[in-house]
Amino acid sequence: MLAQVEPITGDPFGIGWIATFAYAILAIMALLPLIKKRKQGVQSFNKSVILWLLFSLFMTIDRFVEYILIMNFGLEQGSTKIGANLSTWYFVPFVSVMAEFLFILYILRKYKFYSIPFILIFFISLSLYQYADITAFAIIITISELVPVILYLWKGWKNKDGLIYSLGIFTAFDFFVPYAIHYSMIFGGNLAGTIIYYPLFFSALFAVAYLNLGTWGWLDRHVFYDKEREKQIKNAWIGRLIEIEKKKPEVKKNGGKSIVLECPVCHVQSKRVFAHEVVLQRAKNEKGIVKMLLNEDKQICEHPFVAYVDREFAIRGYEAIDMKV
Amino acid sequence: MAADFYYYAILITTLATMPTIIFMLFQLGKKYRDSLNPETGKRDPVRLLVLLQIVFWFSSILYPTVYRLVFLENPASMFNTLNPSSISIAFVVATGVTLLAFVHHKESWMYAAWFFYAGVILYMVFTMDSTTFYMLQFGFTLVGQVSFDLFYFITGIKYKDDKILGLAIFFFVPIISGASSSNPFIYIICYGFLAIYGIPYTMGKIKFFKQKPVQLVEAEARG
Repeated sequence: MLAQVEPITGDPFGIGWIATFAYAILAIMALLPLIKKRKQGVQSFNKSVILWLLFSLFMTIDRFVEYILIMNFGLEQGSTKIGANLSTWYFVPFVSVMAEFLFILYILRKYKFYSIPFILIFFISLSLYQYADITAFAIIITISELVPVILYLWKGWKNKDGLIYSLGIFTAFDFFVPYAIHYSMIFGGNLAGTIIYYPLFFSALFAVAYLNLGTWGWLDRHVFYDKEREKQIKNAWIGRLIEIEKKKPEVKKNGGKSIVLECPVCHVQSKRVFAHEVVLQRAKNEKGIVKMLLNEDKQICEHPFVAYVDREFAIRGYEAIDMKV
Repeated sequence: MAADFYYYAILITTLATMPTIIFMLFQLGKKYRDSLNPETGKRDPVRLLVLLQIVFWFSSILYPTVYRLVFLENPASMFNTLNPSSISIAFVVATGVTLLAFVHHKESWMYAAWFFYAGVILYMVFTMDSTTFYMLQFGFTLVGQVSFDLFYFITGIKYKDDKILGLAIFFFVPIISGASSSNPFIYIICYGFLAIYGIPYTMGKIKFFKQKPVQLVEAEARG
């Protein structure tokens, strides 16, 4: 029999407010590099990540405010309910998880299944409105949360992609792990009071901090760091620098413009200088976009690819070459 | 006495229109079979969806007719329970949404209505709540039927497509007869109209829009 610990009521040190403020700052920081890079790489993907993260972060802040109201003002979990059990306590996390599910469908290009998250929101809300039982809610939210977490972590680790891996950790610790701890403390540890809400804050803070490591490229530089590959890249760089050096007078004459290129397969970045006039000349087509076949000589990495560059020298997209005959 | 008249009026009208509908289905099936593209080796999916939708609609009137013949009385509202007729009507709606999604290239709507109806059935299976099921099923079929028919009209006029506009008129008639289900006269008029309209529609004889004139260059190219 576990002993009942004297519950602490209220939030004496204002940890809830501090955590909310810190979370908002970290969330903005995590989004900054993504917003800066939104015109590089595949634009629609970057925009979708930004949109999903913005929505998710907003939802988490909304949850934080609810925890603070519960801790400081004596509101009970789900006291704002309508019907039997449809309250922000269940609805907000569920919408947040469904947004993640929708984003996973977008990544997997399963456009035909886009309606499933909305239909699930409808039926789960209806079940919560009609019945106090949360079994269906718990089962669906667990499955919908675990699948993205496993996919992100697996894909991130396999492709050595820090951003995707950090999304996995973020997804797990922003919602799933803290709620598991929260309910274990209530049912397993027989705890009550303010203390049971702290894991929800700290875990989400850890999640958003880890997301920063991914978006700012720290994980790519220090965790998924490959010495052998770096050596290859360096060699390629030296070769390229020599080549650029040779072509310098011509570039200067025509007025060059440097573009940061990123391989769509392995995401190795490289800066290249293109003659202004030549690119603008080629961009006089219907769409004003130049298709460039790059890296045929494998100077950046092992993969030849196509880049779409507009008149402003901004990368509009990439395409990997599957086969060359 | 009124109930007897209602019973016989609907039964005789339905039985009288059935051969026409079977002939229509036969025509639609033949047209789908002939729509094979020799270059791609595929048949026209729009024709398949039109055929499926009318097959589902036909099965929705088959169940009440068989019920009337076997039990010699009118069946109760079919939306209260999960029965072949209510499932068929839901499939008519779902096929309509799929057809519209296909025509408008909205991939995300392709299976939306199917998933929603699957959700309705699963919800009923797990909750055993027939009242909510009745409301959901009735709402889905009613809102779905009116919506897809309205969009058929819009799509048919927008793309000047005889097939879609013809289908919009075809499904508009059961909506009217369903809305006035207590009035056997309207039922007779509606199904009579379907019997007259259905055959020329499926044979492609009804043209709402003028055919686009063939360009001279195209005609020359064809030889």
